[in-house]
Amino acid sequence: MIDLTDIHVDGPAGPLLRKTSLSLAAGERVGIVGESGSGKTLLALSMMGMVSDQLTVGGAISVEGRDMTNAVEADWRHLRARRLSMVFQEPMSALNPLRRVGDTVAAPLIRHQGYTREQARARALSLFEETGITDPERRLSQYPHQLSGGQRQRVLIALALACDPALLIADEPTSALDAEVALRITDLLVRLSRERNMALLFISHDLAAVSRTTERIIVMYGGDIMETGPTRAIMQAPHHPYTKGLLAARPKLWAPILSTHGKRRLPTIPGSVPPPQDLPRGCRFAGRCPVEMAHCATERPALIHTATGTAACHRQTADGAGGQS
Amino acid sequence: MSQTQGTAHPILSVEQVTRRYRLPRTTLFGEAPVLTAVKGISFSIGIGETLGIVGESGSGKSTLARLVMGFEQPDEGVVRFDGYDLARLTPAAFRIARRGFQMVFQDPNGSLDPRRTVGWSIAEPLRAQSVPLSEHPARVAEVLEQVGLRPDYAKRFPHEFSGGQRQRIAIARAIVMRPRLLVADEAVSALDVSVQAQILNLLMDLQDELGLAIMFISHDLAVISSICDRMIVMRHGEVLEEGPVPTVISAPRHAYTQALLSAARLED
Amino acid sequence: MRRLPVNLLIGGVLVALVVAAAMLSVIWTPHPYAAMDIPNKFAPPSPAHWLGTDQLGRDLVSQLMVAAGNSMMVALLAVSIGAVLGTILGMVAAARGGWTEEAIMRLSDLGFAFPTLLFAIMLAAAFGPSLTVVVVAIAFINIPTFARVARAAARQVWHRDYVYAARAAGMNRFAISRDHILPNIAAPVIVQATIEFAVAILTEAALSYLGLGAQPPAPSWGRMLSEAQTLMYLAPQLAIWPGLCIFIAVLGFGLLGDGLRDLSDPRLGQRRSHD
Repeated sequence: MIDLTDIHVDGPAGPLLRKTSLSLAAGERVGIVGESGSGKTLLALSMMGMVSDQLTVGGAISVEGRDMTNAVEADWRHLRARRLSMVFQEPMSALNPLRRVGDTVAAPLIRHQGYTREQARARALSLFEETGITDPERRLSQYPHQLSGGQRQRVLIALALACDPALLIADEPTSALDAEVALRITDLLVRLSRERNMALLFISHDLAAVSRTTERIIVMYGGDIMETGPTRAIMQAPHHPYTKGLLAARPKLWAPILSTHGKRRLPTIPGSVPPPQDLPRGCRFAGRCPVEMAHCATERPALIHTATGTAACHRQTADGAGGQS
Repeated sequence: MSQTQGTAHPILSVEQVTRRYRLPRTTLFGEAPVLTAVKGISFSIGIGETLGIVGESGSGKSTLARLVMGFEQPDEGVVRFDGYDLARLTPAAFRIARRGFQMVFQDPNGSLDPRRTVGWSIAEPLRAQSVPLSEHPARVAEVLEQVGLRPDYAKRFPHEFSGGQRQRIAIARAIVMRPRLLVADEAVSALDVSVQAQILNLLMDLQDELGLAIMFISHDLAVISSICDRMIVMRHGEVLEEGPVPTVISAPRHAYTQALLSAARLED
Repeated sequence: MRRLPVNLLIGGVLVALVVAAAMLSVIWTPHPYAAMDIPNKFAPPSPAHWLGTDQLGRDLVSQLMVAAGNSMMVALLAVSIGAVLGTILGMVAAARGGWTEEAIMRLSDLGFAFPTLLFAIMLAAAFGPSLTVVVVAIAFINIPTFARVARAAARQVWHRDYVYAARAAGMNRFAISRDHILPNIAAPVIVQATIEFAVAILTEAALSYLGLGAQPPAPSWGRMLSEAQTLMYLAPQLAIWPGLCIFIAVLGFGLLGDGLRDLSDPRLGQRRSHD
């Protein structure tokens, strides 16, 4: 559905996203996991043609067979109005506070798809129903501040669905929400993706949220892909030392209680993410990696196949089994 | 790792505390509506104990932190630190009492004055408490090492550090007066996962080292479970459930706690 | 790395021009500004008198330069006094809250409602017209403006976590205001001061035009305008040049203030820190 070949983004201080290739099939649910500065949002923005003018984007991109590599803003706008949609983290700031939410959803329908006001209203109502907004009829004429965080996020999803997109990108859509509400939003995204055969790209720092929502995971760090693979396989048997560290470092609900030694220290990844200009030239994870080898900091490892997916780690090539310490 | 549990010799006791806020008036002549953020809450924290306070946004848990820190006064009820009613202390006595309880905030970007060096910020409690100036550099260097940073970082400015390092600096400032209670309000929520674990470990290490009691506020049950001895579940300004962490998590009594847990369990 | 706003650039150049002329006038003017040369009155521009002479044969350039110095001095003094007093009041209001804040802010509302001209006329009636009266009048009306700006900015800073941390440390309100509030509200106060500077130049010109400010022979753009008024048809250039000076100075400081505001705009800052 969407194909990225050797896409990369450079900032004034150096590369922010290294050469990366990626494709999504129709109806596929893919997650991008990464910490701050991992380049996960940049990767998503480059799929929308929305990377800031101050950065340079290179590489080839095609959407539904259409080559967008040299597309101008008008082409991207055309595509965004019809095939690609995005949902953001903060549902309050993404909605115009002075506009009834029904009008917000109806506006693009009238503008891009030639609906009449009545048709647009009817469509907005059905979108509200589809996204599980409670009392949808009444909500249409309410303002954003009258809705709860979860309802607002649903409105934004309804807005994103208005153009029947082939791909929905959700950037940290649950991070500002309470746990229970977040759970319902991820369930909604999964359901919508299935029912509409819509590809979903779910971006989050939260491994748990991503694993609930997606079939395939891309783990990013320092502007580079570390590992990819089926969600289940990555969560249960990660190959890359960064993924392993990340999974181990998550606080667990049960482990401390089941432990017989009282409060145990959590496993950690030493150090912190360096600023972009200080990232190592080789593997981005060099310097923090527990199984680092001499050439890791200087040579960039290629993404190679593992038992379940791909991983970019020199250990992977060295001993085949991959990243064992 | 506390032997002294619960109410035996509480370092902090919160007794029947209520806090109301007057909201902006919605009509010209009507009464201004009142929001009761905290409704008659009571709990205590023993010496060296970690009490987790879990609740979602709007549960009143942050108001509770401000009340305990004396940033706001309760409308009803008493906050006692080490047996003293904080509201009844003279300003001078209150200032001295402050040495005993300090706070770590959620956002490590906002809790350090961007115009001041790290050393200046860490030494602020020393200045406020009239510790002789000659002792400041050594005390600052000491706490920087305690939180795992280099002493020469004192000369740098906050923007030169990552989020995790800034949170370490904020913790250094909080422990420089050797307090007995640390109030941590969502202290790891804004941090990346890999850094979160480091900061939780640091808090546990400091607790063992300094005998700190910690009031740990979080929306994240897994984090609470990793660091706390006892926990309180809050909702709409009230305590729904209280007990040792293993008990609450393995046998929640309240339906709301069960709902929170089922959301968290799916993540494991 | 950010590009300087255009208004900041243009404003800076205009202000530099006026300030340079004013400073130069202290040590050098083409002619003594008050030297009369009646046979040579209404002289057209010439190598000796670049812009010509006025109805008493005084050199126009020299007068405009000295007048620039007077204007700058009045504006500087008045805005400084107003800014210092207003900022202190605003900070006290934000620090103490409650009825103190209420009282200070209601008083400053009262100050806003009071017309500058009326106040200056009252002062001039009581103490006689002079530049001092102008300074006091402008300073007085500036106090509420700065009190409001300072309080609004200070209230925000009081809710930052580092201020809570300082309170947790046991710092008193005075020390917090000095250590944290003042440095962090300096930017908006300075921006406001630059804008008020432009207003002060205009007000000084207006008051001097009305005869409440600079007294003869002390030159002032405003007084030069008022003297030129009766000669409008005979020698319009006498009104045009001081008018142009006022225009340039006000525009310059106005643009500079706008430019500084753009530079310190929090939204620009956010965009910069966004990754």
